[in-house]
Amino acid sequence: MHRLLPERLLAFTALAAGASLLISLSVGSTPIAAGDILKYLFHDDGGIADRIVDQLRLPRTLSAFAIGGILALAGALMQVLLRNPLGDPYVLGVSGGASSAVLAGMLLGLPVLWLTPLAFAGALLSMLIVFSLARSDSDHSSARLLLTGVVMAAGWSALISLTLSLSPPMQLPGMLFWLMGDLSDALSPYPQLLVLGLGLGAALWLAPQLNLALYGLEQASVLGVEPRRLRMQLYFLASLLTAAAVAVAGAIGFVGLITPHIVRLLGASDQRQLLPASVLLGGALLTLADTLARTLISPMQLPVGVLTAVIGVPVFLALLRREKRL
Amino acid sequence: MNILLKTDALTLARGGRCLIDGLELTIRTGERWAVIGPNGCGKSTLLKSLAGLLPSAGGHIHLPPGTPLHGLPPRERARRIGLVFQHGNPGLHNSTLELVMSGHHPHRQHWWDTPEELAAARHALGQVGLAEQAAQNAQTLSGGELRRAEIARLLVQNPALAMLDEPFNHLDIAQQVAMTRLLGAHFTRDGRALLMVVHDINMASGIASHCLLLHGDGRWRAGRAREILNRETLSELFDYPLQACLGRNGTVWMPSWE
Repeated sequence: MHRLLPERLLAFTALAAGASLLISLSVGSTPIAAGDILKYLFHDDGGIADRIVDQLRLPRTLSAFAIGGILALAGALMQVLLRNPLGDPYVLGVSGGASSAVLAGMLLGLPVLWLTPLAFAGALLSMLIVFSLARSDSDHSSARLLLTGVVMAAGWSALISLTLSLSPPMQLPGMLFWLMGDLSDALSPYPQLLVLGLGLGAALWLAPQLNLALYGLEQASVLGVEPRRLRMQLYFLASLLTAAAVAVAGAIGFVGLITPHIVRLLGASDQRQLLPASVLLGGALLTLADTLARTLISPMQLPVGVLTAVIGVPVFLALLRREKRL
Repeated sequence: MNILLKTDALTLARGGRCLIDGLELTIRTGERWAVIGPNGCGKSTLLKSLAGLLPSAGGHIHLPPGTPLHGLPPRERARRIGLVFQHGNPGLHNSTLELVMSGHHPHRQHWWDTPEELAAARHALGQVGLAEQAAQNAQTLSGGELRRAEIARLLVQNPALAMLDEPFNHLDIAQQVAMTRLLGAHFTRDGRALLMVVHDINMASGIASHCLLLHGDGRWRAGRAREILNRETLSELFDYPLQACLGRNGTVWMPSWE
């Protein structure tokens, strides 16, 4: 497959991000021409279309973009941390902790406003449990971390099944919707955008060391990286990003797993390019998926997590096939 | 001749077995050391310990003037000591040039790659005969090519003490000679030194100024190559009779087949 040059890769993903934002802002029950979007964004004329763009679609679109970017970034970081291509934001059980906490909250009939902080607390709890159990990992291997995380995730998953089976039928649709990931509860996009900006900044700061980690932590150590510290920074950064995303939007699958792979298949290997390109592409992917989720059978909404898979699986498989013909 | 590395009663153990007991090793600038010993005698363990990757069971490692190894910041340590592992790691999806570029990390002042760094990496790739493979995915390199790419990275890292763990085990005979000359020329000038684990005794006696013999049961012997490489020490080391044959370029060691 023809690999894109670094500058072209970033330009391409930025273009995809811009296009997805424009599409998301213009598509809906009231279609608005893409050419008019900029006018409504920057000039208030007080009309219906203006308010639809500014107050309804813009916050949701930005939320989707931010969450997609956060998940892709967390996935890319997890793949480096675990040196495993199957790494995704949820592999270490962070989302399981969040989901268990939220379902318990729903079962207890807690107010909806509590769910986001509850999810965040559950995610943090799971993250700390896994980290403290895996502390004795040797300096240069993450095998124990991966196993501990996977076992924790399995434990949470059993707890989730138990909660679902014990829940009154009336509550089940809401619970399932939350589990599959849903952006309709995101009130303001700005906290997510802030998390994304800070997370990307921290990740780019670590990027030169992450490049070395790809040759194994022993080799990285020989080249001047402190492996224990780098692993801890990676773990907490990736987990906090995941916790933030899960708290706002539930466990939206697939974006975090495949986006970094797509970026790699497009030709990026240097983390200084791969991380920002993953953020842009992950944002674009989730923005498009969310646009479909709210328009396909409108006025009803589909769970966006299903659509990320529906879009992501064929795109990924097609890229993988092209790579094979190299 | 300045001292680059000094061990003080260094004791190394692995899996409850004492491999090296009370090692007193002093490596000075300009020296070329060969570490020789039977399988499992602790050669790789020693190199990893000297690089600060493994804890020792006792004793100390000093990087003069007066600095304990474990007190050094990681990047400073990487400027003093480099190590090419016995088993290479091509990385993930990166090009050969990117692999070599990673050697700049201990010296890096900027977040981005400078043209000088890129030129130095390309030059090093040329030195090991891989200029044409620069853009190639490092995972598609052959075993010998990967080894040479890692040697190019070591040249870029340019540590004061360069250590290599069986650097020649994937190389054809011409490449073994070429890499030996390259490493010997580069790491014995400008206050540098070389330490290599070598299985081929003839290779070791050809290039080494000094030898460290490891028996694997705690015993060790260090000194000038011409003083300690003889029939008695080597036969005892491998617990097998060896004989010396006089070749055109000096002694050649052969196993006694009878």
